[in-house]
Amino acid sequence: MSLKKGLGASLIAVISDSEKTMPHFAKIKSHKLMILKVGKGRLIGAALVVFHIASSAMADTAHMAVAANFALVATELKEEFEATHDHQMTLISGSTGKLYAQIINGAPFAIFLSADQRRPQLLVDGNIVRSHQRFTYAVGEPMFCSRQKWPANVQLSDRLIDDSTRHIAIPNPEIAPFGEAAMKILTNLGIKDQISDKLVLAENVGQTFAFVSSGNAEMGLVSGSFAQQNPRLYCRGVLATLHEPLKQDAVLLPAGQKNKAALAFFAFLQGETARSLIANSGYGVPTQ
Amino acid sequence: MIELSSVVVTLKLAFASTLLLMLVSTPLAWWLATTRARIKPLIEALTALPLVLPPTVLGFYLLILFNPNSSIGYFWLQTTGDTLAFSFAGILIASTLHSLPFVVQPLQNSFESINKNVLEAAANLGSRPLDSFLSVAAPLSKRGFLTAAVLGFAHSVGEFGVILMVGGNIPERTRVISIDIYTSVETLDYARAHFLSIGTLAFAFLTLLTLYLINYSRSHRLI
Repeated sequence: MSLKKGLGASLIAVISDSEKTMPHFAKIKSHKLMILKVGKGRLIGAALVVFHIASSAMADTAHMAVAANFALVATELKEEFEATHDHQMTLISGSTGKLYAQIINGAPFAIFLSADQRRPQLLVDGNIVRSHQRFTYAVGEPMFCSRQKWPANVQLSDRLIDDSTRHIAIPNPEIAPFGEAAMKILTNLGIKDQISDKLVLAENVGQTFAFVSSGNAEMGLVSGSFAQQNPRLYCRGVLATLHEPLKQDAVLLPAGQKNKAALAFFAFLQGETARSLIANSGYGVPTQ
Repeated sequence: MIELSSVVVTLKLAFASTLLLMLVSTPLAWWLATTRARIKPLIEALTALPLVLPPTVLGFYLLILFNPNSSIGYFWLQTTGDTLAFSFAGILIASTLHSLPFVVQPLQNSFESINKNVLEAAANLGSRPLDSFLSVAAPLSKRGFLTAAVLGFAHSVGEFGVILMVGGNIPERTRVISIDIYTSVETLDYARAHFLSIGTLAFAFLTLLTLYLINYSRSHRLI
């Protein structure tokens, strides 16, 4: 009875830890040989127990919440990280505001790559994140993109107020820092009231990109990494004087404090490989 | 004072969708109920698709069809001067397509339950098809129409996924209650989310209660 119970508990433990990845095969093999003698009925359960013991010491998996504007780069970073480390990362992308709301409601994220400094600061202020486990990983570059040709002599503001631009897609400023930047840019260009009827609020930078790429919005504001993504788009950067620098902070969340994958990725993100990859993907990288 | 434009847009959408749905579904359901054509199962399956498909599939294809470079999007832009995406017309089309089975199926059931002898008697007395539909079938299907309209209206009020994909969250145009609640939760404005959610909850309950009262009265001959 007690053995059965023990096996049952271990099975549950195996299932709950199913995110742990496959350990080295050789290791399992040697354990398997030993338990072959135990008996056919218990073989599967016992093998799972051994599998569980062998795997728990090895690779970890961590969930990382990523601001949508950085999702493409984060995927590249994840691939590079997994190729050089024994750990796995799972990415969840969305608007910074949505992810923040999920985090303070207990979402099991180990790392949060925000699109601003405000939400990470709120997490520090709320004693959810330790202040030294926060740093600026990228400086975002907002770009206006369009599927229609954009002659060099046509100014951004002229293009935006022109009748041929029926819709201007921006990420929702309430939840997306790129949307906040977009509103700031439109205000500073002095055309905010003129174009307010054309504004389309997307869920995040990703949906903004989809609206522009599909041709439904004639203009849209996305991040540099998305602008590089579609060669059919005509994109142009925005004068840095028109908006505050889009400093994007990363934080290690409570779920990541003891997760080896999260700790390793957090260190990896501050290393030279990650920094140069970010710099080559349409972002600024702050000097250390 | 709480800003209520999303409630207005939702009601506008629900009434317009219901009207459009009844206009489209009545002939379609009548045809499905009376036809012996071989393509009937095909049309039935197509009509029922929105019941099983995730709204994102519909949203994705509509986004592609709506853009001004596609033939439909271009035609719409040329004739109305407005695009389909991010417009009230666009979410009306999306909502109508998505609610179609909720209106067609109760109507079809109702038409199919009419005693064939009654319709044959009408035909024998010289009544033409449209005439016998209007003066015989339609009055006999009163409850079917009511159920279909209530379901169509309620489903339009609950529309979310498709509108999230093609609506563009524009106040007073495409921001409906469900989107408003979603944004309120994302921005941690729980007071607003509660306010709108409680209202929607009460509405949904009353709608279903109405529906079941109709069915109850059917078995007890109250209407």
